[in-house]
Amino acid sequence: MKRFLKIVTDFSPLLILVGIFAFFAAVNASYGNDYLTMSNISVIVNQSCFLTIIGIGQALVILTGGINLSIGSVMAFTTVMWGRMLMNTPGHVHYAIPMLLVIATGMVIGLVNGVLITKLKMPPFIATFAVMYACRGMAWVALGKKVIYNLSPAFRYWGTGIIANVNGFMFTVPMVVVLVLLVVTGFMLKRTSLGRKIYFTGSNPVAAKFSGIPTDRILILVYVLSTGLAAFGGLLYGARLNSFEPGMATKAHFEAITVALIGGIAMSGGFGNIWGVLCGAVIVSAIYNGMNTLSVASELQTLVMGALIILTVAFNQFLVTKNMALRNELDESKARTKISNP
Amino acid sequence: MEDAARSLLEFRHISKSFPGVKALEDVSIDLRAGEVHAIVGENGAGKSTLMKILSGAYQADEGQLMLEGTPVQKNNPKMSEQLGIAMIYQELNVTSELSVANNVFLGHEPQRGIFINKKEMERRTAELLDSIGVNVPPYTLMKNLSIAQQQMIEIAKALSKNAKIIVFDEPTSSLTETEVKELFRIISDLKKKNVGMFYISHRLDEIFEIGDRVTIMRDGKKISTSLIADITMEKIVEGIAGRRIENIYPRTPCAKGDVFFEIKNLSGDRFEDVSLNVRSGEIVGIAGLVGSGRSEVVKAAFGVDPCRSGEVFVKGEKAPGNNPQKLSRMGIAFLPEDRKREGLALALSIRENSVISALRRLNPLGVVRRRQEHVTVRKYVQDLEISTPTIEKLTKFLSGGTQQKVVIAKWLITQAHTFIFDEPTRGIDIGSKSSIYGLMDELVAQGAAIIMISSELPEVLGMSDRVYVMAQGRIAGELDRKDATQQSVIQLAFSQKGE
Amino acid sequence: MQANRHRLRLSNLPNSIFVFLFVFALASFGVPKFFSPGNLSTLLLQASILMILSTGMALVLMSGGIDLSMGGNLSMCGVVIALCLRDGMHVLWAIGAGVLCGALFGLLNGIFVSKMKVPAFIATFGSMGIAQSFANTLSEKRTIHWEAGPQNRLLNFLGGDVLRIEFGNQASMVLSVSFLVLLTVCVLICVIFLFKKTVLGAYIYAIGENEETARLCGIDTTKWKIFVYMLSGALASVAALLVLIRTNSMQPTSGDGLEFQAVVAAVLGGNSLKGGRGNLYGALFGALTLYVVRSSLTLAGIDTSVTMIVIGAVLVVGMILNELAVRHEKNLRLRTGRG
Repeated sequence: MKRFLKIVTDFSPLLILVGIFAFFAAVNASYGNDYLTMSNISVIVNQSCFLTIIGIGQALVILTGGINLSIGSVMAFTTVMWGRMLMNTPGHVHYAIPMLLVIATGMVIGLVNGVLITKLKMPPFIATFAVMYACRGMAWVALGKKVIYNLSPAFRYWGTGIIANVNGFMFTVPMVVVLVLLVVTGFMLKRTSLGRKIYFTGSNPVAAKFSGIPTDRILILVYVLSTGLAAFGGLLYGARLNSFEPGMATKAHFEAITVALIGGIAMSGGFGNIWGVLCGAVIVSAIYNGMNTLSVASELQTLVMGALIILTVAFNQFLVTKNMALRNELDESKARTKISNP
Repeated sequence: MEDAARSLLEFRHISKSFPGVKALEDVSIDLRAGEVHAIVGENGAGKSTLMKILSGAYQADEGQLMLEGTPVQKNNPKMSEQLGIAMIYQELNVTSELSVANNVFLGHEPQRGIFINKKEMERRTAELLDSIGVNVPPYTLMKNLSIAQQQMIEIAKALSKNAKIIVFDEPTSSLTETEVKELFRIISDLKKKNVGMFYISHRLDEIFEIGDRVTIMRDGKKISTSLIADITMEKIVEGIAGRRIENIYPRTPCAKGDVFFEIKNLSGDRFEDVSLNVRSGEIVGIAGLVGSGRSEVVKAAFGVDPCRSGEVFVKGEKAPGNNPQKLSRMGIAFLPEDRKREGLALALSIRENSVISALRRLNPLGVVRRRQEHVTVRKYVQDLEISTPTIEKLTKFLSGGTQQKVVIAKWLITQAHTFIFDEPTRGIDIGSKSSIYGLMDELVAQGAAIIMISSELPEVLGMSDRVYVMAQGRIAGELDRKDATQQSVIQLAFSQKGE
Repeated sequence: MQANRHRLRLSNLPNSIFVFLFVFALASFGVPKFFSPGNLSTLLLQASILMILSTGMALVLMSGGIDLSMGGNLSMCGVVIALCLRDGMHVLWAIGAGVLCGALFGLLNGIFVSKMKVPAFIATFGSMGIAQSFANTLSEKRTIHWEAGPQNRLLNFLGGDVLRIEFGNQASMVLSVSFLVLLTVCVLICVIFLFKKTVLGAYIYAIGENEETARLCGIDTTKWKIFVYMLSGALASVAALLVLIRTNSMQPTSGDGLEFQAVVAAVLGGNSLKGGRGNLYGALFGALTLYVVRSSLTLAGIDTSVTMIVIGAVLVVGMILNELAVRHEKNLRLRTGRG
């Protein structure tokens, strides 16, 4: 029983996901809509890809106990700045060059975030807020009220390309990209020294400093990665919409926070699994999708999201304490059985 | 004293446990009106926990609290205050942005309608401060006071409640001698007013000065209660330690080598011009009052706090300032005072905590070699006799002594040569304590150097080859093992700048 | 002794006053039309809304929390008031309903934070969505207008001027102080009075610095935290009233993003996000500083996009100044505390 409970607590985001799918499948079925079809699921997963990318960016920062509000405006600014090079005009440069430039710009902005937070001792909330404001402003300055559209097809393949169609489930390029990103980040967090340091810093920044971890450098690196991921997310976002504009993704930082929190990343830092972010993203897009097929008004969707965030976090918090206690009890009983039958 | 048979307060068979520790086990103590009941015991013996049950900060798992013969149900801080119980805690509980008057009356402000009667509050505060001989205007902000002054304000706070029972938990740890005299005068005044007092202190001479009865506690259990007149200092010490005192400091003298770690003229926020050194094979103690700048010096030397001027040398090589990472790579280990806040990530396991400082050595490529990591951690867990079923156990479920051993393991894995121990045995049980002493002895025998900061004089005297005494942010003196006595250290610790 | 008291007071002035005076002087000399009676009147009126919000935010921040739902709450309360007015309800009842609504929503936040122990950031982040959703649903995402009538004459009165001095014929030479500014001043005085003269201020500082300490002093921390969130909710509804009277209509999105501006104003004013430090005047001057920057840049003909960049920069510089001030104070304390 205890072992079962522990498994339950380990996979709480996944359970919520299953619950959401079951709920919408049932409700939709009673209205005669198809929800759980292969094609609809692939739509949901595909939509969640963008959310997952910015969610990973946010999750990395939240793991260190911080927050990144600059995600959305970094997406706008970096892509608007280099977007003209991605247009479908004769004689344009290879699309990889502007893509790399966009990501590099994002990383530089991340560096600014990190320096403000570590060297100038600004709270992450305020520092990234200032950067958010500045980037949005710079995006408007760079492009004015114009829109960059008609992007090169080769570039758009990154956001819209389809690799295979299995029984109506479309495997898209973004899915592969996200999978690679998840594997790489997961490996970094769980299997490298860097990942250890990130978790330790998030769990107790003071002890990290006393243990000889260069906390400032770790934090700067995390903000560089996070903001770079935001820029990359902006590229995929634009590729799907076939346009870049200064006013895009105004709520992306909120969405990223939502996804990370529902995915079980603890706001206090140092706790959470990166794969939870994927669950969080799929949950969010499953809810949007399910409510859209039921034609629920969009304003009610924010209500559901808001309530869901509070409830899942309250629930997760309960589970996390429970999970730790369970883990402890299991260890103890394991040790007892070991002693009793040697 | 006239009605000695009837007790003011009674703990009946109190038990309390925390995850991993049994803090109190079947403790029964009574307090009479107008007496000073001293409670002595090691850190972690359960004294503070018992008092927190009295104040309502904790709830007892079992047992009963009786006040004047009636049981107290579901105690909480508000209720205990209404019952006339006041506390002076060991840690300062002040709100630094508020005025002295506000702090004194926090939670029970004199009111006129819904408004605070500020005049009345400041008047009464001034009276109280006057009565305890503190010369501070009531409207001064708390943050502008010194630690000792803040401690006296805490005492005023307890007095402001007109309590029947007052608990003093280590009230003198940061007071000067004159302030301590003042405090004792207050206590004898309170005695005459029939107030019952618990007095917790490590300074046994104080207990003989003002105590009426003394209860000895050890490992969460009550050992004995007796009249002060009927007991000797030796008996108390023996009761506290649970065995004859000599055995617990195992020092084998060994050859001293080169200077491993040296601080030269270091000055910072709370200390001035400090120089000290430690050699291979040597344990150097740093003694002094709380707030004398002991911890601040080593924190600055290790680079976690900034310093104004001065230099630090490791094996003759100059170390950079403000860079703990570099110092830990140069072979310095630092065991902080507050292991929960500064030493461990409590939400992570023993394994993750103990390898955190040695990641570079264990995993040169940056990728964690899991099998080797397990082997290494298991080896140290065995060597240090860390009692745990698995190395995956979260450190927050470990007892204080075991937690401290994990912090030590963390630094042993880095293969450091100089260890800075800041209050290594605070709040841990006697068993872990003596094994930590044994370990320190073993380390210096193998050629390591150790700097140990401690508030417990017997520990400093028992373990150190040399003792530096700090007072008011400066080194007040350096004593050899043979010259260092309780008397000489205390004298230096209380010495003023001008003297 | 009296002199000592005075000196302490002076050193306790929030340094955002100096930042404000600096920015104000810069704008007055640098931007031609800035220091005109007309512009200053508009500036004050515009800043009123943020001043009320940032005061509420400062209260919550000092208690160690944060209230991100203030903007959404403002929209929701505004919509409630507007709907009541549209249905021909008497204006006092409408305002009452709005304030009640704001306070109740604050109560909800308080329960999430202090009873369910959800971190304040997340609880109010979530309830921000809830409030926005209510605002949009109730108004059906449309701007609400209402018929003028005898029952809401008070609104016109409040929208009018309490003081009008003409220095010249042009609009820019008219100094007009709206009743709304007076209302703001009254509300702020009430809050400051409550903060200074009752136990509220002391308890907020105590809870913000160390909740356990406050609890040990016998303060019912749960109750007081809920009260603080209710207060900030009620203040959001007062801000909603201001928005509604100024625009003479109510948009369900008018509060979006204001919570962040309120945080920025409060933090510029020296309030720490960690709680236990800061003050209300600081938040007020933080809000004024933001509006001085905005107004002067607009007058100088600078694009709003550049304004955003400048505000980001002002925030960074302000934070650095605050940090320097804190360090200076600490050094001062160490030097005097020693002697």
